[in-house]
Amino acid sequence: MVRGKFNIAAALLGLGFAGIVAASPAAAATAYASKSGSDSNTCASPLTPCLTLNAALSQAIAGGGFDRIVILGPGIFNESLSVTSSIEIIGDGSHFQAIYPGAGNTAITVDSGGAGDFRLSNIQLLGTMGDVGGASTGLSILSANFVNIDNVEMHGFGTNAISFTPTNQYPTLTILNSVIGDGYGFAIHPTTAQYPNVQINNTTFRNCWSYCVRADASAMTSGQFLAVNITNSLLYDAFTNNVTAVSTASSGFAGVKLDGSTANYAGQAGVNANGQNTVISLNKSAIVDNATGVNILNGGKVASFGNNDISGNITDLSGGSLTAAALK
Amino acid sequence: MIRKFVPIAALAALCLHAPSAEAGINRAWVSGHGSDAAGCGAPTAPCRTFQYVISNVINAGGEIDVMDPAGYGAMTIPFSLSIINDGVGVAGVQATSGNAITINAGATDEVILRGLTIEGLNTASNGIQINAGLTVDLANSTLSGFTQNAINFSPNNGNGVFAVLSVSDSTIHGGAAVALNMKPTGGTLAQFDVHNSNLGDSNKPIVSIDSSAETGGYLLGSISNCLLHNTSATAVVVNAPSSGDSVSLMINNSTITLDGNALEADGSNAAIGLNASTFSGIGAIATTSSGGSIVTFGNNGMYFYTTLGPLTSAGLH
Repeated sequence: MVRGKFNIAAALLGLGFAGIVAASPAAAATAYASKSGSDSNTCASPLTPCLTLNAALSQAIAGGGFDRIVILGPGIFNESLSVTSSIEIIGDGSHFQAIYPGAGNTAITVDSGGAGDFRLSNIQLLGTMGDVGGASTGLSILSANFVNIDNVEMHGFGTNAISFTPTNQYPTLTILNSVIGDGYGFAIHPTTAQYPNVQINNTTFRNCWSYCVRADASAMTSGQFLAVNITNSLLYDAFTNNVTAVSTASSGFAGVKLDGSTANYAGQAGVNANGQNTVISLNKSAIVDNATGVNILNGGKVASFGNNDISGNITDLSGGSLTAAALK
Repeated sequence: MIRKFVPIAALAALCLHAPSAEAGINRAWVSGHGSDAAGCGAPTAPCRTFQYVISNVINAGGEIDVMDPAGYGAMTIPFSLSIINDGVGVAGVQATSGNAITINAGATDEVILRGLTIEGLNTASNGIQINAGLTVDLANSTLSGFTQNAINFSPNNGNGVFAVLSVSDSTIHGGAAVALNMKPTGGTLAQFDVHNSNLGDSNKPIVSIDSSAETGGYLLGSISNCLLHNTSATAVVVNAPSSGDSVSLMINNSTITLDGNALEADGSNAAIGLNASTFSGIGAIATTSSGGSIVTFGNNGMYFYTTLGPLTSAGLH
């Protein structure tokens, strides 16, 4: 079903690669921010940084082009950011740098349309801070072309560390070299978007207060699909399922691929395929030490290349059988 | 198929190089607080830009160290040189036209680039243009916003002389450009190794190898533990006609996903090998023409594709 409809070339050509290709040729503005800065500065130099990220964001946008905020020195920025155009936010990598949005709030909301790119690296997003907590979401992606997250830690969010609910077509989220945990994990739950996809590589999800990764296509239209590829990653200690795919026979298709990864210590299942239009594919992965290793519900499908370790669970396989797939 | 061997002299040069100028210093510091002025380069009086240091301060074979985050400007590197940013923040190399970094080193020179953020603002042509040099080692860096190639590896070191490119722990956002383009000339025996890196987000091939400008030699490449994703074009393209150099490219433990097509081998001298890798969300996995070959060891996961294409089986040993 999926293969017959798949035309990634057309799909990608049709989308906002124009966002990259046709982006403004104007010089990009790099704005610097530091806890020792001042919002009355121009923020255009490391010598004159802004005090807040919101001031830096305004300055960077004013400069045109693909904007960048560079965070200097240690500190926690107590603010929320709303991003509506292409921008990159980089911690300088040499200090502890974090954003804490406050109780009930979202640290960063990305709503930059189908041509907007967003990059975030070398920073922590905090859902709790000492005894003060209750922040809602670390990163909420409402619309974007490409979103890249690299070397980011997210802790203690009460709704999701990352919520990916895109309304535009063909959005791509890439999560690299990151740690997400001690709260709710990552959820992709598009409604009207077609073909959102997620690449997760070399990333750890830990101590997830419900799921670690949840791919939910139940609000998508039949014939649309989402794809989540998890490679070289570790997912452990979810209260429910480490990885879950959800859909129904009349909804979109949710495909999750676990490649060279480990899912363990889940309170319920290591991987959970719930619904007729769900497929979780396992390749060179370990599903071990969970309450249930592989759980299949309501016609869900779990495909295995026969090279996975599914052992040491209280119940290794429940609700159905694995579908054999051949390596090539 | 392989008709030439590594010149001993070339390999020896990996360990031995002779600085071509000794008037300057062997280690210089740059800082956003620094100033390009005579006598700069010490930690207490850092310079401001890479190019000033290269042209006025550093000896061939020396090292430029980054003290703090700032933009340090485009540069041309004419000799062995190390530029090191070991985690002090963003060390930007930005260009609005031409190349952000041009390497015109000698055929025995080594260049090391570590921890750079190389940006072309969607108007510059190439991120790193390698015209000559024995080795270029790029690590922990990011490239984006170029119109032709993020890395254009087109060395001319002379007939039968090696040129080696290594890319590790880096991210290349292709955009309108090829992420890594290899097209040597002058009989140069070029090799590259890309590992632990993330390449993609483009509308051009992610990796392109073209041996048509040379003949009788061989080109090698390996891609290991990498993520090649999201191009609307074909992710990896090898063009090696019968009149050109032989090309052998190995893809190991990597993920190729959400690309228009995955692999294309054109010409009887083109060979791509696949080992323990994963392909998904692809139009055609393998496309060949004019005798090109794509070889699998039978241990690759392939799913969500429209066409498998011609794969040749090989046994693991």
